[in-house]
Amino acid sequence: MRQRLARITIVDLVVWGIGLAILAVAVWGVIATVTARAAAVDGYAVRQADIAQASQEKPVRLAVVGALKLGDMPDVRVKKGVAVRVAAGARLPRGANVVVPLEDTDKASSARRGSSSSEEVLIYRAVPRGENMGPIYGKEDWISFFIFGLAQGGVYALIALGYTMVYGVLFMINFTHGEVFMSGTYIASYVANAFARSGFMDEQPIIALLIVFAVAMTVSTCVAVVLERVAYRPLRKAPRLVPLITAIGASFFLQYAFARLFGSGMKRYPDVKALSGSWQIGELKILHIHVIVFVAAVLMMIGLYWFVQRTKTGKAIRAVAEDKDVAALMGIDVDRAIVTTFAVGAALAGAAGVLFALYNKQVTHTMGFMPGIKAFTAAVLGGIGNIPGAMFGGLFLGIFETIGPTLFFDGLGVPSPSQLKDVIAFTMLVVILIFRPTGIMGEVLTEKKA
Amino acid sequence: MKDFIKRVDARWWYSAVAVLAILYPLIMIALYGQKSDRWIQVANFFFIYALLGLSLNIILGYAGLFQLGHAAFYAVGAYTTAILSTQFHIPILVLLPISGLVAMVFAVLISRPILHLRGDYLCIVTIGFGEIVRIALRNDVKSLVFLGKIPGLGFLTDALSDAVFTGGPNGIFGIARPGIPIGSLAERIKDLPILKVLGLAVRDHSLVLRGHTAYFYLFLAFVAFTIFAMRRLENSRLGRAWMCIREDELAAEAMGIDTVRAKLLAFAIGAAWAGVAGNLYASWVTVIAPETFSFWESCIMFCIVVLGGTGSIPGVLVGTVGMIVLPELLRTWLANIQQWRMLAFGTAMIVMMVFRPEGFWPSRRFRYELEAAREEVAGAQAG
Repeated sequence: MRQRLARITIVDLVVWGIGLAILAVAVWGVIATVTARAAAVDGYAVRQADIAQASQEKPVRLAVVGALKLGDMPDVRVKKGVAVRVAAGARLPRGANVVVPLEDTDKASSARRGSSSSEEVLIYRAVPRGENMGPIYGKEDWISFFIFGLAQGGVYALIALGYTMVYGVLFMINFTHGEVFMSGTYIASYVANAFARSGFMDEQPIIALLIVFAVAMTVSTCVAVVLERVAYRPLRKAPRLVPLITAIGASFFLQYAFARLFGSGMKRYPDVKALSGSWQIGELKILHIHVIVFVAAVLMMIGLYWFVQRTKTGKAIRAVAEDKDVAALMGIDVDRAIVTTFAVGAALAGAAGVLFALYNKQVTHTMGFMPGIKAFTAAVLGGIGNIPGAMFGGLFLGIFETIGPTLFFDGLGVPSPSQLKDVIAFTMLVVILIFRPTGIMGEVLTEKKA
Repeated sequence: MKDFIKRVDARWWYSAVAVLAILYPLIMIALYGQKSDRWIQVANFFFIYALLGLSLNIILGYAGLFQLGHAAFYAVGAYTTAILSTQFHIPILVLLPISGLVAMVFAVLISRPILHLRGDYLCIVTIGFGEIVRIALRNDVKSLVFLGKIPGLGFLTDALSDAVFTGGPNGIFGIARPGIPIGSLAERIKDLPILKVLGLAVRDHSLVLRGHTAYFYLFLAFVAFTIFAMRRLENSRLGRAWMCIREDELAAEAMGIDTVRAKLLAFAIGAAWAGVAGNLYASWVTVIAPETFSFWESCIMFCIVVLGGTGSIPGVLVGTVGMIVLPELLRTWLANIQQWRMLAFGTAMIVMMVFRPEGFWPSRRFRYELEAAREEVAGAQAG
């Protein structure tokens, strides 16, 4: 014990300090977001103790020290004898525990003439504590974040499966997977646009979408199979750095090939009428597209699981992942199993790409990078090489990424927190790798990696 | 030919390269006149990336730590320079060591908790850090306004919400250029025509670098110094420890090498050098933005090291030619089909790795390793 203590250096202490500070900020942010309250009506935010005696005959007179609109971060504090004008939906300042609606108040000019803080308000009713205020993000908001997160997470999970399967078989990060995802989607976007123009998409949405999916999956699969043959197979015996470079080279190639062939601008993905619209459940609004994306992703994952667990080819893939040499001795064609792994992963990525484009409504030649790297995060999160792990990791990351920015940063008053969702994703990646490098559901890979 | 190369003393070759390098801008001016600026600019890019490649070579080449987020350290150096130069008007040359130091501290802090990771895992975390740095730079300090809510730090709220620190997505412009105070000498040399040729100017009693040519010599000096330092480092106790770790970490530890310390030092020194490169870059282009330090930048540095030959100094230089100069040349020669050049480039990377995985100019040690691995595989297949 003493020896271990002796090895802790200043650097370790500083690192721990930074880590604890980040943790503290996260906890603080969550508490601040959850406890923050907003005004339900236009009125004045006050302390209940101040207005307890107010009545129609004997109004209470309070000084108005500020006004808050929707979206303002309160910079004032409600103290004794003070009120703050708030608009409906505005975040309440600290100290206030009730909002008096506008109709129970009256503006009063100051008795002390000439003083600068001339605005005052008369309050005619003793509104009970906690009235006319509610959480800024209601249950409905969190549920709709969650549903969007599920859709996003489903897409991540589908891409992550490609990473994780290839890693399981070859112990190699297929950096080009993001571009494989992009290429299928990109080509399919032409088909989708053609269908949308001809009206086929609206008449027969199911058939049209199935064709779009088929195109995307085929293109992605072809790209991945060619890639495996050209860039990875010759290097199977090379040091691990080398295929990483060919992967980066192939990424370059694919991105610029698409930019060259189809232009580097953004392409629109058509609106599918059959998928737009939403369900309204009370306050809650659920977009059809989010549910459909999630369900489609789950169906594909179940399909993959069945394929890997139940079919002969799936068994061969698992055997190759376990031990290539022994698998070869058992009469399994290792090369074929590896190509199949690439192909299946790519097909899922192509399908994921269409789902992604359906709710993002646009495609570019660089669209593969971010989902690719996020999906990798998801794969690592679940334990790379582990198929259920990738599914779980993808969903978790998707949900964390949609809820996280608001949950952690909104209460802290960070402007436009959703810009920071990538930071949240990567921070989670780093934290998980620091504390549990094999992922949450990770298998023990260390011996295999040797 | 090979005999001839070997027969001539290596020192002659070094001298020839040195003379050629020193005369390069003059040759270019003689050859291209007005258009020479572009070629000198290309050379300057070569130097910057050579510095970055050499700095990454310590981490990736010597210590064998997969680092795919080197642009983060480069960014830290460049932004340190940019912020201190524009806000506090500290001279660039004073900032040179400071940028290196800041990048080094940053690297030590972020690499300490991830040192136990190996291979691909380390690779992914470094990508994550690289992206976090870029996004943080893009969001500026406005994201930190919450600090103002800590009791006693209320003044920060206003200060941070109005502050322009990293300049957000627009970045920072108007970074000063390096100058050397020369006192009264300035008056005397002010009108010398040679200054203009060299891209120098006299301002407020100091000699300021203005044109690409002046920077060329500054960068050349730095690259030369770096190569010298790297060669010393390579053969030092620490350098040998790194290579030992690269080849077999367990064995290295058994031999009494403090692997944590050695790896931390690899990150620290590599990052410090990248920070210095960032300083030079910022002072040269005078405008920096977060997108300059994207993931692709890290990829390019990674490719420079591996394409050239992992762990080899001449390899890094060759790799830099391949990754930086070659695309520029292609741009000129294949002007009509400019867009195809990146395509050709990606293809070349694949072809190169398939047919010569050890890189153009590998270090002897790395080649042995590769051969040993191949023989092992061949042996396993035969037996």
